Amino acid sequence: MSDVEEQHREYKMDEDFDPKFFKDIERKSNIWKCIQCGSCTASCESGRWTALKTRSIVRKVVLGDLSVLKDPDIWLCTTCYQCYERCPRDVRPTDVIMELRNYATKLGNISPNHRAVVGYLKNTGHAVPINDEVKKRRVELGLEELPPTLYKFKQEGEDKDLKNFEKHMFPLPPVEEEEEKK
Amino acid sequence: MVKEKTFAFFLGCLMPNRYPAIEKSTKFVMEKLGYSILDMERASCCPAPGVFRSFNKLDWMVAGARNLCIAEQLDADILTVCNGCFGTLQEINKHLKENEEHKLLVNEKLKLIGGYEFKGTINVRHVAEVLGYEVGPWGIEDMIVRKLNARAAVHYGCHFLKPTRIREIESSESPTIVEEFIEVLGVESVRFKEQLTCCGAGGGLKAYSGDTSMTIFGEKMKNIDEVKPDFILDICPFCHLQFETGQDYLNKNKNCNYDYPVIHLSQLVAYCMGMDQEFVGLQYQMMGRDYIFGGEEIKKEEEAI
Amino acid sequence: MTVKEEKIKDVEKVDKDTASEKSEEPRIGVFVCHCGHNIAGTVDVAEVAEYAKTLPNVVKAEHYMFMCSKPGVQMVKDSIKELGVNRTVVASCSKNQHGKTFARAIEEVGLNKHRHQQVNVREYCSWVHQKEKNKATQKAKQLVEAGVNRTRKLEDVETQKISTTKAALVIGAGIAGLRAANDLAELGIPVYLIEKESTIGGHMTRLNKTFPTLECPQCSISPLTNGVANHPLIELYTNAQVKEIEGSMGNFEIEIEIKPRYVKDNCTSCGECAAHCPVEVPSEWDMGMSMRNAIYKAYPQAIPATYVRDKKNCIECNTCINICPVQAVDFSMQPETKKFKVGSIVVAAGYDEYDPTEIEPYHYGQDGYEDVITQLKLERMLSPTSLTNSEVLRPSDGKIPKNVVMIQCVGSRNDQVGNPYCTGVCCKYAIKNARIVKEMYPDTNVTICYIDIRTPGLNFEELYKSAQEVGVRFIRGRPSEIVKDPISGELRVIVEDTLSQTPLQLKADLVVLSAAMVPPEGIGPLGSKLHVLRSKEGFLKEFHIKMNPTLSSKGGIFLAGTIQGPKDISETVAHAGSAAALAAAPLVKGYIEKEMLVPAIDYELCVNCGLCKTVCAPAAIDIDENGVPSVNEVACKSCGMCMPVCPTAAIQLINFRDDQLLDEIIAVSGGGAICE
Repeated sequence: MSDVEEQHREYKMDEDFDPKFFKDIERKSNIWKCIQCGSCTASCESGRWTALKTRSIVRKVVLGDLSVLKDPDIWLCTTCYQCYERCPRDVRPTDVIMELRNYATKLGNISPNHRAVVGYLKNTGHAVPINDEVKKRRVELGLEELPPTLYKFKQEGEDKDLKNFEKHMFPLPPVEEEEEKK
Repeated sequence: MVKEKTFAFFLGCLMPNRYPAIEKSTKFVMEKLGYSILDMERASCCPAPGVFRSFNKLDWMVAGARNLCIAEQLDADILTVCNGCFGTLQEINKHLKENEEHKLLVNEKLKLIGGYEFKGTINVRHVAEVLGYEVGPWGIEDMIVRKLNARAAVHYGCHFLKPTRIREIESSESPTIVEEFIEVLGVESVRFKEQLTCCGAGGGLKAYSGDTSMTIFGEKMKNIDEVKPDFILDICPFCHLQFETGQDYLNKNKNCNYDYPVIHLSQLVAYCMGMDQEFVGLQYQMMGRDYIFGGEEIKKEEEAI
Repeated sequence: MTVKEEKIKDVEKVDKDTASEKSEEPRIGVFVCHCGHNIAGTVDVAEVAEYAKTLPNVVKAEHYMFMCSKPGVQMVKDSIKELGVNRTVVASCSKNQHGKTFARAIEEVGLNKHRHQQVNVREYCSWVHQKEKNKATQKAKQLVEAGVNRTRKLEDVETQKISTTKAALVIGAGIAGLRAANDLAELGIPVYLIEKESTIGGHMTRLNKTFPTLECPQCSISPLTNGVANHPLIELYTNAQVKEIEGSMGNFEIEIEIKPRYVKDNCTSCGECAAHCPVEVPSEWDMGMSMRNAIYKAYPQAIPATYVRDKKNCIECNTCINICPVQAVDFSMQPETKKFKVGSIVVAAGYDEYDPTEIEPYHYGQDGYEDVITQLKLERMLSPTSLTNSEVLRPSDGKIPKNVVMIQCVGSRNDQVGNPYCTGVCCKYAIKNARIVKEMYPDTNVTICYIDIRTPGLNFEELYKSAQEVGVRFIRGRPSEIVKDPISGELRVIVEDTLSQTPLQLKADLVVLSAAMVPPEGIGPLGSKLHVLRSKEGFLKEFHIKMNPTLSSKGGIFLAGTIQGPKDISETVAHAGSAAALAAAPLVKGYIEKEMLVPAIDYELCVNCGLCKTVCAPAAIDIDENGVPSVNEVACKSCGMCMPVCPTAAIQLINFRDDQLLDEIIAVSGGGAICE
């Protein structure tokens, strides 16, 4: 194939797909049962306004179209589970999307905002850490200034569990690698 | 065996760190109803279902199981007031009880991060179903001292009822548990278009794309505005945050003029059970600061001897 | 009309006189076939024959090129005639292939055909061990020895001729039952036709038009309904259901219960009673689309034309009694029972339309959603005798809809709700109705939302095309829900047009759900009374899906129409014809020949536990009031399930007894010993 053809090719070849990539995805045989009826997309609150077409996402998994792992649309799902409830083949599309996000995260396709949230968890034990204003509010309401979560214990010098979180949990590929890939 | 009438109170993130009035209200309500509320020391984020489960499912299960272990050590069922925390903890709890293979995997990692071991001895409860089914409208009727006369737009959220095959609470297409309960408090649920849709915050969407989150939310606010309720009632602090910050965003960016107070079920019930309005915490919220609950005092009949 | 029952002389034995009547020393003949190279190419057949000679009781052992050929078969016969061989073993191909060949052969020379044992050394041996000739030969020897061991104790199995009762019962008078009853009666067989509703004709009479020719079903079925109602050999009972069934194929004893009509047979069908009846309730026959009175006739052309009283809703004001010009109304009528004997039963109990209430997002049956209906309701509206004068009107306000949306696969093809199967007729009738509605109201938008369009068979793709040509809109997408604006009351159908990847909100002032066909109410108790098996979907199960779709799991009981599974009218009529033919055969012949390959019970070992009855699928074991079991030899299907469950081995199937099977096993396992 000439360079010109390679650059501007609309059609896909069998070699462009890799269905075996998803061979270990959870409930694979149930996902393969999808008949593309579109109940999921019709139920999707996010898909009404965005490019997220749940049905197409499942189609890409079944075909083995790995471009879905770089697709930003898979992050537009709010996990409302409406598609999961209505699917006549019990494909459970919400779970499929979350599995895809796991694969995408391993490849480094995770947004900076989400990276930050992981950082908060490892640092404070919370996805949304407390701030001074709320500390004051708590006292005014008659509660302890800090709730008895990991953060309080860290403030008091005990941060064993958080150190373990940092070491063992939610590893993310470093950002630099991603730039090198480009 | 878990202790009776005792709950290990799981706080989560948004309630203690942004809306502590809900925490106060819940404690007030449960203790007045005769439940014993225990602190879960060293609890962490549940972890949030749409965010952390999207990053790494196993670690999400491990962090959730760790929180469950804390309650197991207290020998008490978990009580949560948040759909997100409920979604995470109830699902992980049920899944690990039923799936031996995953339970072994999770326990292996739990040892690494602090010597915990998940045993599967407790259950996870949400305040909406504890009040709605266990206490019930019949049970609360005698305990309230104030009855309102208000119209509310009730928002169930998503993770309380769905997926129905896991939660097994009631039908997600036509739920009535909260509305039937608040009727006894004098609050009428007013129907609005597309009532059961998502608030748009979950699944990591609010962090990933605030604009999309607000677009979904904007449509919901439009539908609520059509029926002009007195306040918006929710059962989840994340939905609560979305309704608060969302109205503010729409006012600032989309020329809207919303000012609906956003009330969590715990706050409403606490007020009806006698808690002062100042502890309900509207003064700390962005919307509806001037709203007065009002309602009529219920005189308790003297008991004949 | 009384039914004349012709009886043939009772049970005759058809076996030829045999010398093997007395128990005598076994003299076994063994014949090992080469089958050309098929067996001999791998197994040393000569060696096997030699080995057979050494086995006890073997008086002749031979090998030959093609045992199934004329000389081969003659060899077997000669050994019986000349050497007094009284049990035969042929080691060749499978029992299914040539077992009958040799069995028939030995019968021709006077042996009971069950004295033959077929040993398969081809499919079981030579063909699968082609690379290991030595081992194959050893295996063949063991198989032959097993066969010899087996034959040693084989007993005669007699074939009984059982005379049949020349009459048939047809349950259900829809199109399937009418066709079956008619076909049976035309063969000269008296038929008892019972129908649980007060009128005959079933679902077909409720339809507006039938596909693909768009004919009027009432006109098509009318010759049949009238023919059946007037046929001298058919006794019709409406408002009747089966109460009890006893007996087995060829001879059933039926008891039916006839609910009282409360109107005598001299009713002239003038309608005065209904005209003056103060009570109005939704008409079941009209799918709730109109009202009927407490005393009513389901529809004007109903057969029988006699009116019927609905006791439950009647307020007993007695107006009808007083106003009837022929004093036909009689509140004192009681339920009747009738007993009769038949030889075959045809079950044609039909189907029910799936109730979509279960599918919550579609809101069927909920307050405020009266404009969400099913296809049968639409058929009723379109019908020539409908309340709406054949117009399509919205139930909520009686106006003609501007936007009709049909939803396919409601209650079909769904793993979460309803049923997993595809009903197979909904695409056809939805397209039919969509085209009719569009042609009636060209300014109304008609849309069909589908997952797939399934219109196989002659003239159906053409029907689909013709609907597209008149402008019916087809959207490939399964709607997720029907929403209603709480203020304007407007309905919208939420669906993705998958072909263009566009989520849509369709305006819909009438939504028609294409609901599945499901087993009819009451099929559970009916199936239990008949002792027939049901499929996992709940229909009555056929004997073999390919080779015998109209025979049930129990001999003498045949299935006609949708009771066996969803089908359209053409398929139903063909199905019913087949059921009638099969049902008629033993009745026309006058007898059933049945091999008595049945179990015997040793009452000294039997502990009356009743387990044998619980596993007997054709209900061929009866237990009396003392707990003592007995075998109904006509109903028995020789499956042998009673044997393994019996805790004391008291029940033993002839020629398959535990000791006989053990003899075989010992040889196959290389034991070589003989059981006493």
